Amino acid sequence: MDQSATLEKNLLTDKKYLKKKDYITFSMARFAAAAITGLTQGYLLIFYTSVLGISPVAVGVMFLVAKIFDGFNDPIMGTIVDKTRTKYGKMRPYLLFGAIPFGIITILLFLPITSMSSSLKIVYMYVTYILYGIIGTVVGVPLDGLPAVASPNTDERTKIVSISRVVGSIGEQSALVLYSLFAIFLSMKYSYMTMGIVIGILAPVFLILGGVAIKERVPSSKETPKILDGFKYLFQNKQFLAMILSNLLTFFRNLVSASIIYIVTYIYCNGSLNIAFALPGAIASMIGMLFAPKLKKIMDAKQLFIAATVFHSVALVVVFLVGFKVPWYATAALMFFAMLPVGILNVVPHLMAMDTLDYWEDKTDKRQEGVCFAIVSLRSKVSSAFKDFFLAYLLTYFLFATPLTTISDHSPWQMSFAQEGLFMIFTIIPAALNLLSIVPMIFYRLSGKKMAEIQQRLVVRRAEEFGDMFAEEEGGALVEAAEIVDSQETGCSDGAYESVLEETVAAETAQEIFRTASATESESCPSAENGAHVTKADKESEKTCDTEKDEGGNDDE
Amino acid sequence: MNKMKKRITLLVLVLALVVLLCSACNQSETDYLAELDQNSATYVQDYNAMSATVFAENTYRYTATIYTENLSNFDYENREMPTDKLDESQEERKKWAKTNVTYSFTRVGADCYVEMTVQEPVLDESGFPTFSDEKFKKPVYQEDTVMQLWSYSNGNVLLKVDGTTVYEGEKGGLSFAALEGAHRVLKYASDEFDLLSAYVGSPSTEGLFSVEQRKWFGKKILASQNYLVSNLAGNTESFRSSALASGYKEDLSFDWSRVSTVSTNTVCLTTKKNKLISFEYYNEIIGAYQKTATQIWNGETVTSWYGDRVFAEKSVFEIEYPSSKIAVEIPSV
Repeated sequence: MDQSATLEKNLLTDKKYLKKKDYITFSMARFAAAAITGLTQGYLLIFYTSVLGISPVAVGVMFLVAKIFDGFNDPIMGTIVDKTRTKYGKMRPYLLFGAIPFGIITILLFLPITSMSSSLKIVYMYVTYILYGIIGTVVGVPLDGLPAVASPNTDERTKIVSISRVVGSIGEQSALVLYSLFAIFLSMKYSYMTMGIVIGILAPVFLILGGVAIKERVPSSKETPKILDGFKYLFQNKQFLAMILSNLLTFFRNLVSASIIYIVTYIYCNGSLNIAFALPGAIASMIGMLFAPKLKKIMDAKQLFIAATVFHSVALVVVFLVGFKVPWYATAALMFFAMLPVGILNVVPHLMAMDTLDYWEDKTDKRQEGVCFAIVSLRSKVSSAFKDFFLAYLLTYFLFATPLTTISDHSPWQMSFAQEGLFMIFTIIPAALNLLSIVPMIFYRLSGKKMAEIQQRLVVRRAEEFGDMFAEEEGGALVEAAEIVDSQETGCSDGAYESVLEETVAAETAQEIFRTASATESESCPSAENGAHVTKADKESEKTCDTEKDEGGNDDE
Repeated sequence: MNKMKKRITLLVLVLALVVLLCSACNQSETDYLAELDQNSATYVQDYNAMSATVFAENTYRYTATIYTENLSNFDYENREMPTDKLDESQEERKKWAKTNVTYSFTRVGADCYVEMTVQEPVLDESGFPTFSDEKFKKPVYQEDTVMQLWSYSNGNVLLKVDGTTVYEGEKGGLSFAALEGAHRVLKYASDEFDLLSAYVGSPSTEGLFSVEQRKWFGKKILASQNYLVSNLAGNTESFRSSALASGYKEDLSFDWSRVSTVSTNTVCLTTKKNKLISFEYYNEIIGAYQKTATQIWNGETVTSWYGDRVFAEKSVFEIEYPSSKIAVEIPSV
C-alpha cells in the first residue's frame, strides 16, 4: 500500500477529535429534537380534536397539506445549508438560532385556545403547524448533517451517529412518559399544555448546548440532490418504484400507534395507560429489529417483508376478535406480540433500498444514494401525512364526538359506534389494509438469488476498478474473494449470499480498502452527484458522512 | 439565490392561500340550519321505522346498562361549584350509580309475558356507591331482583316480584309508581311494561343540533344530538330560538350569566337486517356557575361565568332476537 495513503488512513482512524462532552451534548440535542417530534406526532391530533374541538376532517386536511409541504422542504433546506458560509460553519448557525423559535412554536402548538371561533382555530392550527414544519426543517436538516462534518475520523462519526440515534429514540418516548404522568393529576387540556411548555422550554437548551459544543471540522462538499431528479430516478428504477409504493402503503399499519392515545382515553378511560400500551409496543418493535439480521439469513428481504406483514395483520385480527371488553392489560399483552414484526418492517425497507441501489449500479453503472434516500425521506413524510388524514377521516366516519369548548373541560360521551370504531382503527382496519402493501411487492424481483448474482458482478467489477491501486496482497485478497464467490455453484442460496462473502473475504478488508481509496481521493466525503459513477467505496464512505436514515424507530412517525 | 428567493416566496404565497381558503371552508349558519331542517324530517321517519322493528317482534330480550352521575353538592340556587377542596364537605362529591337490567318479552296472540332482572349498586346513607375495591372503584351490588308480569287478553295482569305476587287484577289498576316504594325494581318498569319503550318514545326534533347516518357492514346507524337551554325562570327552549345561545356547530356558545342549565341529549339507534339491535341514550346537564376573583392590579372583584357538567346519564340497550326456530311460549304462573 502507498505510504501516504497509509499515513492518511492512520490519521483518519487513529486521531480522536471528539471528546466525551461532544457525544453527550450532541446526543442531548438529538434527544431534544426527537422529544419535540414525539410530542407533536403523538398528541397533536388528539389535542386538536379533543381539546380544541376542531372537526377531525379539518385537522386531517391540514396534516395532509402541511406534511406534504414539509416533505419538499428538506431538499430546499439542504440547498440553503450547502450555500451557507459563516464563521460558525454551515450547520451550527441554524441549530443555534433555530432552537429558541423551535421551542416557542412547540409551546404555541399546544396552547388551549378554546375561546377562539372555529375559523380562527383552523387558521391558527395551519399557521402554527406549518411554521413548526419549517422551523423543524431549519433545525433538523443541519442536525442530521452535523455528524458528517464533526470529525474526519470515520469511526468517531459512526459512533456519534449510533449513540445519538439511540438517545434520540429514547427522546421520542419522553412525551409518552410525561403525558402518562401528567394525566394522573391534570385534565387532558392542561396535560397537553404542560407537556408543550416543559418540552418547549427544555429542548432549546439542549439544542443550543449541542450546537455550541460541537465543531464543524470537515468541509462538506456534498450537494443536496434535487427532488425532481429523485422522481426521475424513481420512475427509471422500477424495483425502487415497487419498493417505494409498497412502503407508501404501510401508512395503514401506523394507525395502530397513532390511535393508542384514543384507545386509552375513550375506551379504557385512563390516559395514564398510554405508557402501558405504547412502551411495550416500542420494546417489541426493537426486539423485532434485533431479529431482523438473523431472519435475513434464512429469507430474503421480500420474503421477510411479506412474512412480517402477514404476521402483524394476523396478530391484530386476534386482538380484534378478543375485543376491548377484556381488562386493558390483556389487550396490552396481545399488542406486544402484534408489534414484534413492526421492527422488522422498519428495517427491511432500508435493506431493500440498498438492494435497489446495487441493482441500478449493476444495470447502469450508476449509484445514486443521494436521490434514493431523498425519495425515501419524502415517502416517509407523505406516509405520515396520509396516516393522519386517514385517521381523521375514520374518526369522523365513526362519529367521534368532539367537545363543545364553551363548556369547561368538556369530554362528551362517545357512542358505542365510536368506541367500536376506535378499536377497529387500532386493530382490524390496519390488519386488513396493511396487506395492500404486499401488492407492489409482486413486481419486486430482487430475490436473494438475483441479488447474489448482482453482488457477484459488482464485487468483480469493483475489484477490477480498485484492485490495481494497492499492493498485490491486499488487492489480490479482494480479487481472490471475488473469484471464490464467482465460482460458487449457480449463485448462492436465497438470502445466504452475504454469508458467503463474509466467509471468504476480506469483506472487511475490502471495505477498508474502499474507505482508504475514497479518503485518498478526497479529504472530505465524496460527492454523490446525480448520475455520477459513485462506487461502493463512495457508498461506504458516505455512510459515515451522511447521517444514516433512522433504522431504530418507526420512521413514518 | 434570486431563484431560491422566488421559490420560497411562491411557496409562502401558496400556503397563505391554502390557509385562507381553508378558513373560509366552514358552512354558513344559514346553510347549516337549512340542512338541519331538511334532516329533521327524514330523521323522524327513520327513527320511527328503526325503533318500531323491535316492538313488532313477538319475542326479544335486551340487556340495559343505566349509568347516572350527579354532582351532589352543586349549588343550583346560587349557581356555585364546590371549590374548597381542603374542606371535605365542599369537595366535589360525584354520586354515581350503575344499574344493570336484563329484560325479556314474549307475546303469544294477545297474551304477553315480561321478565326483568335488576342489579343495583349498594349506596351509603348519603347516596354514594360503596366499593369492594376502593382503588379500582369496584362497586358492591345488591342481590338481583326479578320482576315477572303476565298480561292476558282479558285485560287482567299478574305481577310478581322475587316470586311473590304483588298485584293481580285489571291492567288499569296497576300502578308501578305506587308499588315502587316496596319494590325498588319497579321504578324501572313502565306503563308499556317495557323500559325500552319508555326510553325510545317518540323522536324529538326540539333543539335538534345534528343528525348523522352511517352504514357499516350491514349495520345502519342513526344518531342525533340536541341542545335545550333553561333560563333563570325555569323556561326551557331550543338553542335556536333562545336568546341565551349564539353561534352554531362547534361555535355554539351560551350566556352563562343568564343561563340556569343547558341540557344536551344524544340518541343513537343501530339496526342490523332491519331489526333494532341497540338503542343508546346520553344526557348531560350543564350547570352555569360563577367564579369570583380579585384583580391584583386594582383590587376589584370580578365575576366570571362558566358552564360545566353537573349531571350525566348513559343508558345503553343491546337487543337480541331469539331464533325463530324456537317456539314462543309464555311460562306458566
